[in-house]
Amino acid sequence: MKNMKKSLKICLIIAAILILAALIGHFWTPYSTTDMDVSLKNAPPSWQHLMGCDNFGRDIFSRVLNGMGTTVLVALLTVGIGLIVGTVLGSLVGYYGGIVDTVLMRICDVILAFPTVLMVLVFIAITGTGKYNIIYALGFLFIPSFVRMSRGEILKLKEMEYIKSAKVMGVSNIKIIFFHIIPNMRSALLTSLVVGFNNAVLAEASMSYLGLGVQPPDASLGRMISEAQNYLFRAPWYPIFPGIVIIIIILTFSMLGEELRDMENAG
Amino acid sequence: MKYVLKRLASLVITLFFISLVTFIAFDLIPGDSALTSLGTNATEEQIEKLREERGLNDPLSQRYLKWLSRAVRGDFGDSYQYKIPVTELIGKRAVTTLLLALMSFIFIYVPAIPLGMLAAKFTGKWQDRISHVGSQVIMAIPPFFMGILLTALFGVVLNIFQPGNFVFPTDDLFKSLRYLVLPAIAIALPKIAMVMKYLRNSVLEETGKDYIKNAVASGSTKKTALWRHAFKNAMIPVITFSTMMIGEILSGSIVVEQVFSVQGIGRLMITGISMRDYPVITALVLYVAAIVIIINMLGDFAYRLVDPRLRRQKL
Amino acid sequence: MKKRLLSILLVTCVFAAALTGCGGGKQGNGSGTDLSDEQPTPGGSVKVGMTQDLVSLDPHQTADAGTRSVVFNIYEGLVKPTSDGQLVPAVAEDYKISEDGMTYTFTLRDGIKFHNGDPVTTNDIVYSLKRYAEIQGEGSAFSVVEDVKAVDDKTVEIHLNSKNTEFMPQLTVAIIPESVADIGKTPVGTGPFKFTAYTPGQKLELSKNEDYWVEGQPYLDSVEFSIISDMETAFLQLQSKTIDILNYLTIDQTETLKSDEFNIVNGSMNLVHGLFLNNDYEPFTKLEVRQAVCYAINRDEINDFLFGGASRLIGAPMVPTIARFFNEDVVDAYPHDPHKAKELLKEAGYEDGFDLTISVASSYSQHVATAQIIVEQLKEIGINAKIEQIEWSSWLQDVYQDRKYEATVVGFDGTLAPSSWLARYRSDSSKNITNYKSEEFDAAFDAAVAAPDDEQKDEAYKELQKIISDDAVSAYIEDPADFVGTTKRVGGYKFYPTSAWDLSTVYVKE
Repeated sequence: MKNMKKSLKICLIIAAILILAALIGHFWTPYSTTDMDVSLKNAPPSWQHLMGCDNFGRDIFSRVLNGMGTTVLVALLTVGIGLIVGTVLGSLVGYYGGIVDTVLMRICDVILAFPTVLMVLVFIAITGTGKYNIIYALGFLFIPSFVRMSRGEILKLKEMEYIKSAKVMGVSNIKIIFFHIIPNMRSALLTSLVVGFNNAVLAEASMSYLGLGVQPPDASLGRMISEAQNYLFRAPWYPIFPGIVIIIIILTFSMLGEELRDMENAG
Repeated sequence: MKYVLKRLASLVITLFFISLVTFIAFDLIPGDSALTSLGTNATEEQIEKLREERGLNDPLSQRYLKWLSRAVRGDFGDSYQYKIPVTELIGKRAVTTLLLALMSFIFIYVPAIPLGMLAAKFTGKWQDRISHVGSQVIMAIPPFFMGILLTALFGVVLNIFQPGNFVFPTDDLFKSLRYLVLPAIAIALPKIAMVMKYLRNSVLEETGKDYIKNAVASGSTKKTALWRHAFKNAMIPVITFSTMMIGEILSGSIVVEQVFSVQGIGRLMITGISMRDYPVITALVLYVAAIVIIINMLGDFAYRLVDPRLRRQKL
Repeated sequence: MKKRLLSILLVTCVFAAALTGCGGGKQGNGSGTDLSDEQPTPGGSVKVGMTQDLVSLDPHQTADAGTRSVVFNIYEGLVKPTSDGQLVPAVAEDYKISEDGMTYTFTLRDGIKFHNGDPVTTNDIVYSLKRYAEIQGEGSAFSVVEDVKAVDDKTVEIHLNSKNTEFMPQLTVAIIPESVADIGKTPVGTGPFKFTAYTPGQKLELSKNEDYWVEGQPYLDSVEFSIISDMETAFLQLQSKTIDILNYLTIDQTETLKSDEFNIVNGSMNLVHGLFLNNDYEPFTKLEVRQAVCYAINRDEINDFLFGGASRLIGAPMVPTIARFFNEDVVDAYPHDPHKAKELLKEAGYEDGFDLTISVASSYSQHVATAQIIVEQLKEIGINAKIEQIEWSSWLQDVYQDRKYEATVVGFDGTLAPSSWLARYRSDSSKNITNYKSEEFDAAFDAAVAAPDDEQKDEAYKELQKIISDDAVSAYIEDPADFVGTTKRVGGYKFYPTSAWDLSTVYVKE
């Protein structure tokens, strides 16, 4: 028990450091994130450039610091949209069932089945390209999976004794859904939240080539990795540092989630 | 039975709807398939002629009806890019993707289910921690990054995998299988971790519930309780997750297909879209949609099998 | 066991469909394979990587550079280009041009056969040229052909409706047999290699044409063009020697390849690469603003970053490999001079700069990288540029066809006919992406095409480049260096100033 608290503490500390770093990176970086320098092209890590330099001689550490914020913001917001809209919709239709349920699930099928690239192209055709449009686009794309997940859960939960007794006691349906059922889906939701966060980070990286999301020369971690693929052998520090930072971010958030859940379960 | 029929009917309606949406999507997105095919060196006349030939100048409704009337007879037309029937083009790749998916499933479930149960059994102990941390780390690795690392490691450093020597299973099954092992591992790795985690978490949740506690209290061994009761119920979120995952793999794991140069559905979709090869995309979207929907349907049936309570309920 | 190949890649560097070509000019430095004194030996096979699928195997339909480069091995015209940009007889043995320049008379090469064993007849030539003219339509460079007729079974006459001193390069158009109905499905030509099989999205297999008219060539028994989805994967395949030849490597990739296992042959892409400006877009309507952009761009920096300094800088839409017509004088018309650029902006009333969106096709990483460098350079003179990456198909429609853009980075290719490089600047051209309108240019262009003798023609084309440079129509950067990586066992790779990956001279050392 004590042990657990310790690991929770560690997670919290790392998370705090990450958030702080992202905040700092938003306003200040050791070097400019866009200034180029031929003489520093693919320079290896050094005391001046902790993570080395990229193919344009830009300081990778500065770009990572600056890109973290964008990456985390986009990922959190998209998953947030998907989670909130998806869970509410999924819970409502799962609970009530009926024709609305069937129709909504078929719409989800359509969205899930539709190729993402095509969908994003349609989205761009309607809204135009842009840095923040990626949040709506991805958020929208994430809704169906949360709908399915929460609906699956609610089908199971609504047969539970405590829900039935709540009903008998005259608790309103809306109350049951929002105060009794949704809180009990935490565990499943948490897992899909982590998966979703991961997917969002990567989706952001892959969408900018269609015109959505961060455009070069601005940095985001996912983009940095995909641009750095070519340099795996030539300048391994280029793909590896942003990669490690992404992994740390995702790990920290998922561990934090787990710890919180465990703490509640234990408590 | 009536339930099954109902779902099948809704499948047909959904597919019809999807095909319509696809056509509308084509109308919305920029890009002219004739121009894309011919490039910047073609003359105006060449482009116009090709546009006419492909019927791109007709109004949307007319194009759709024409397509629909042929599609219901199973004729999806010829690919703009490859000039062979779309069905042939997709067929070969669908077999490949199916095979890849099958191999991936084996690689996912064979280790994931026992590992997930073990992790649940050893909750809080070091085994659980290790598997927990391990799976977290694997899940946190971006798939395309992992793919590149794997091909670099096996292809260039160890030189035991030759990227690009892909053969269609319809041409040489054995060679094809051998080629697909690495891509299947790349698909499976993060999913093993996910399935494990889902399973562990939901088993734990179940075991925390009264009925299991009661079962243990009333004399069932912990093991029986775990496997007989908790496992079954815990499978529900796992099934939900799995159905989504199966749909995802069957509809073509684009990243893996790209990185490992596998000729599957996902890659065909990407080239189709970028070349504006409408006959191919329309057929592919329908194919993928049908798969995803059918798998979800099977998933719903599976819930009913696992959880008898749902059988009573009308969907 | 290992096969070799040559490849093409497109994603990374080139813009294939339209703009690229592969090769010309400078022969390899350092480890280049051609100049070595080894004796080519017959036999063996080679695998060439390419990141673009073939558009069509019908040679008369093919417009994109990537496909043209590949089918160069299957088909030949009455004449064909050599690696130094000359035209030599191929299917024809000899030709004469009449005094008035209106009639071309070709004599068929003795004993030349199609891949299917049929002898080439004058009827096949007439059929091929007429078919091509019809497919190309009225507006094409081929529309000067009035009539084609077989005089006897050895001689063909081509009559033009007007004098055109640049007609000859058009006759590289493929000669195909009249008896083959669907040439796209069963390609038959007279080139060094025969078509064996094509698997869409995967590979094109060719085998040696034993009856090829060039003595001793080709050396290879077979060739496979392997279609790979992206440049990274293709490069991995080269590194693991799954493929033998890969085109369009980046400078960083060439530095990754171990010199004891791979050769790098270095030529040029034959592309006019630059920042193209929409001359109808508000600030670019002013000459001073366009000139300011030209002065602001540091071409050397771009060259150093992306090509290790190996590209040749240009100042107008013509590449140095077309040496005869290339105007050296305009190359440095706009040296890097941010100070002057600022002054010009001030003169034009844009003292505080302006916002600019540069649209780039995302699949061409060379263009994206160039745009990134340009954004930084423009920042120095106060222009706040941002990049908008779009899909290639969207680029074609929005930027190329509809000209709804402000500026774009792209590369354009051309042929041995000098007019092909400059025709898109005519006010009425459907390909006039920059919306450039100049009566002076139009008149000079017509005069250049009609120029009666070589000397006047050379001068006229150089003058055209001068006009474009003076008007600062766009910021021309370089003809990008083309780095071709080959495995050590492959020799004889040659560059052409047109779209061609010629494998007839390639051999395997073993």
